[in-house]
Amino acid sequence: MAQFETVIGLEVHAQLDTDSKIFATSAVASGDNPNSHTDPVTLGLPGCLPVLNKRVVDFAIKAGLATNCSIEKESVFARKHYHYPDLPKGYQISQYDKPICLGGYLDVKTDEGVKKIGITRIHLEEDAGKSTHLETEDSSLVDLNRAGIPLVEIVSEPDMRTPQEAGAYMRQLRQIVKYLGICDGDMEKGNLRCDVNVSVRPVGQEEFGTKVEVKNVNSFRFVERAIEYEQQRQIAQIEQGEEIVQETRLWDEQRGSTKPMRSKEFAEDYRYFPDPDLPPVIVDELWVKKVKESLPELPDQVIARFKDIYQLEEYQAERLTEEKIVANYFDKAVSRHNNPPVIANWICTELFGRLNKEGIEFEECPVSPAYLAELVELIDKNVISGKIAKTVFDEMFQSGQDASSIVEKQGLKQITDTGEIENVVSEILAANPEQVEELKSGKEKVLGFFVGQVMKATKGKANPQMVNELIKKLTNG
Amino acid sequence: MTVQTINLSFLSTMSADKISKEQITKIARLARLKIDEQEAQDLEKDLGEILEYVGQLSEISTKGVKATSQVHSVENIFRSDIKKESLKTEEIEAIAPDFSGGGFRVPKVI
Amino acid sequence: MEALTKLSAAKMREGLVSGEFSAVELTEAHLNQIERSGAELNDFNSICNNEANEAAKIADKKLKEEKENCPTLTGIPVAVKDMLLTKGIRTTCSSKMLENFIPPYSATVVEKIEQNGGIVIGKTNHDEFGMGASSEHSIFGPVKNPWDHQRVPGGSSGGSAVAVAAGHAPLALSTDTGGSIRQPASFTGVVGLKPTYGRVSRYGVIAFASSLDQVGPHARTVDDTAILLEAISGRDEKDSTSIDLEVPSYFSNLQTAKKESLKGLRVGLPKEYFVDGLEADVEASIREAAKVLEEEGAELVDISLPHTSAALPVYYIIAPAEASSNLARYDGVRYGHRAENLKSLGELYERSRSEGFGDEVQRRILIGSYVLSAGYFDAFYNKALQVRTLIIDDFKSAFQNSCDVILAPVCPSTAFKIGELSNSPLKMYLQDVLTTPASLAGLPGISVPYSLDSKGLPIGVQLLAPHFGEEILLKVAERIERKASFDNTKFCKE
Repeated sequence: MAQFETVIGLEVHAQLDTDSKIFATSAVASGDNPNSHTDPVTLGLPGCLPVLNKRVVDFAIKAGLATNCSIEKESVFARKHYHYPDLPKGYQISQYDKPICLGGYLDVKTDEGVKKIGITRIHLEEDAGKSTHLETEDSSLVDLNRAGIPLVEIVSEPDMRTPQEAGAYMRQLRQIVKYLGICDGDMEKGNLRCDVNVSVRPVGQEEFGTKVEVKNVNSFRFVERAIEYEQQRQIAQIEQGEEIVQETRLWDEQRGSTKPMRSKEFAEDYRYFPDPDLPPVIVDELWVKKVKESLPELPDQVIARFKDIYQLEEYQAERLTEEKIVANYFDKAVSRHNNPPVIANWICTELFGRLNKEGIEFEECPVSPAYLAELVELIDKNVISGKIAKTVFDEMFQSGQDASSIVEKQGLKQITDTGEIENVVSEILAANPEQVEELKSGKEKVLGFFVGQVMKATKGKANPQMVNELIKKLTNG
Repeated sequence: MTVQTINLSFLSTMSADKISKEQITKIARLARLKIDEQEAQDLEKDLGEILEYVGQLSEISTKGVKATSQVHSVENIFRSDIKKESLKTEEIEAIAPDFSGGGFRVPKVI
Repeated sequence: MEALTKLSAAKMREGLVSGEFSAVELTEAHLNQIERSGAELNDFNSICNNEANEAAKIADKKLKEEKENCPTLTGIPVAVKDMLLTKGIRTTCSSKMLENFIPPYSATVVEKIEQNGGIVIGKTNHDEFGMGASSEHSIFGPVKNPWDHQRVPGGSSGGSAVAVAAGHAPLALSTDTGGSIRQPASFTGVVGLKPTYGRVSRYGVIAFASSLDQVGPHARTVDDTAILLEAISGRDEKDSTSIDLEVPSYFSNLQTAKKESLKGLRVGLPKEYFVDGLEADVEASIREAAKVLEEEGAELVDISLPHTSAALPVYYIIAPAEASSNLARYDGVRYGHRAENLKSLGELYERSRSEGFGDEVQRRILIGSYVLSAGYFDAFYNKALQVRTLIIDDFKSAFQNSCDVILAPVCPSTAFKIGELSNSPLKMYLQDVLTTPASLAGLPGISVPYSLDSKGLPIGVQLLAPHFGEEILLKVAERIERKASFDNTKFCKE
């Protein structure tokens, strides 16, 4: 039996985070009453004309620069024709043979190391509306709030070979658009969507197999699962001697499978032609330069900075940069108290753990970066012990109060007065003569027992190092 | 084609066998028009004539000639990203053939 | 006093400002004239009785207060082609598809008319979606030519031309895609100007062919044409193809130009426009008009526009292609005609569209879809775009090297009989043979009435100028008008 290789390409649609639509003035917003963000242009009323939102072009240039694309001097909008109730004009305004960005790549981190995934093109287009099926009757309702929201479509080369690579590429792309601030990356809401092109071929074969496009893949997990399903389906079909049909299939998340989307005998013919209502977009070097200067730091740059300047480990730098908001949090905390590794640790263990446990999004984190920094500062200044710090952190998380106030109010300050600690140690030693003997005879284990007792007596406030030293001193003497 | 004169006499000598009924049916389907047998028959003749007439362009050499899709060389016409008020539901409802719960009702979308 | 409906808009302005008559009286007179001959001529799809009367009252108030400081069109009736959206007033496009469509917004040009104080008196009939050269293809039936009721007024803007010729309004807004202003003007003995592409906003104008459509005036005099052109021109931020170029004072500049000689003006006569099939009377009339200009000091130059005969095939590829796209939105989902007793989405589309569009519109949608479809795109559509470049280059070279304006016939013949060309779509298309070249090049063109043929039907003269050369067009057209002394007011009062 032949070994098969899977060839994967992704078409990612990212909704751009603008205030108004790509060619119209109604608001880009979701979750409101149906058709409450419409205008004559969005509804495709007779006589309406599109006018391009300039910010959309800036965003597309950003996307292109961040994915190493060349920004094309001239790009042209074209009309793509098909009839669907959620497509108001009977055509979608898109870019066809002259897209705004061409020929880029992403260095994607996979389990097997960094892999370069080519990006064929990035083009601008308008989103369609939504139809909702009414269960009670044989009809659907069309809502055009989403119609006309700007999209960039980022088309990859067929460079991926495993579902995991595709997942990693998708995650990295999402991270980039979020860092750029051009898309919120919310896949659940459909603000970031993915169509997957999958084909299989015997290992060693040069030419690609017949590709199948899978639509409606709306999470990272589904990207991987849809590819897994498709590669199995296609291989099984080939092994049974059947041909793969070039078609569009729909991912069915309930069943975990794909199914044909359109009847095969009806071939699409989009009849593209340049939109006569829209003059070409010319992006000169100056424009590109301006956008370049306005680019925020991208994930790879932030990782490098965290490693170089803050001396973080690779894995920690990566975890802190997965989401831009976390990286910003870390930066703010470090600017308040300069102990990057310990702050990084607190974020990655205590903060993430607690948010995770409580099911709270990082956006809603109750502990501000300044407060976390202050907490670490209190440890570093020996005001509280690391152990007490965890209690303080819990309290901060609950109440949103700052660390100093909590320490103050609850009297959690570490006892660093030698006399005070010595008194407690003496009392405990006096109460446990047997253990003192054991310690003297070299049973080091008993030291832990005494430290525990002292901490218990001081409610954890004694400086553990001092306790250690004092026990040794008093039992040796 | 003779580009010197407006020749109106070609009509009588034209054969209209360029576009088939099947092609017309296919195009009608793309354009979402319902064409019955008789209409397809009539269209075969009319469209055949028209397409043969416009097809005369093939005789003009256009090697290296750029295509004009807009007559003015205007570029970069933009609007600022400013949102304005939406049409009101009543205004939309007034023009809609079938409006329900704020949406345009259509036969079931598969 | 002369009948109010025979007056030019310029004269109406004088009368209104001086208080000789009121806007209410003027509107009343026009509504009465519509009452008398409108039903027979069938030039209106809707008459705005109430709205016009109300607007006239407001205009009178304004005239009383501000007199000559009122905007230029204050109190003057304007007929508007039913392809231009009028908020709150039914806009049908002469199609069953939009038979009951009351738009929630107005076209920019309609807003401009209103801002200038003009009174929208009614919506004029035309060929459905602008597709035709006879104004016969309308759900409201054919428009008749006042000069001979058996004949067509030309099209597609036949209703607007007739409204002006019949004294139903001194001014009308029309659209021209391949000759739809100029040819009806010629057939009905009025003036019609198609501005440079981009001179006037297309926002709110029901699109036929986006790269060709342009709104322009119909009027009985060149002066009035200048007044209306000035009112509607200019960049509109809602139309990306409208050009940001200062609008000259067309009317007052024309008054100055009237006093100037035509010395130094080179008038090009393109040989390709004088060909087989051109009626002898038409040719004679054009040659005579040329002579008149020569007598006024102009120099006549024989020129050649070698790709002229390619224009019609190019037009009948590009226009249907764009139309098939522009008309894809009429699907019965959001507005417009929807078929009844639907069983599926497919039926919703196919039945609504086939019921809603007339035969000619469907024919053009099919042609357009065909020339854009895979396998034919390069041979038809892209080829047409290339030949379009050659046509543009012909004009460029003529205007650069040989002449300042071009003088030519508008149409090979005068008005034909209703039904005469109905059996052959292609023969109807050939009506546009002399108007489409300028449309494809985006040039301004004007048709000005010159004389009558042996059947007593009007013959118009076509003048073309380089992009944004409207002023020279008006100047030369006015000279022809002055010398021709063509009486086009005879149907303005019955």
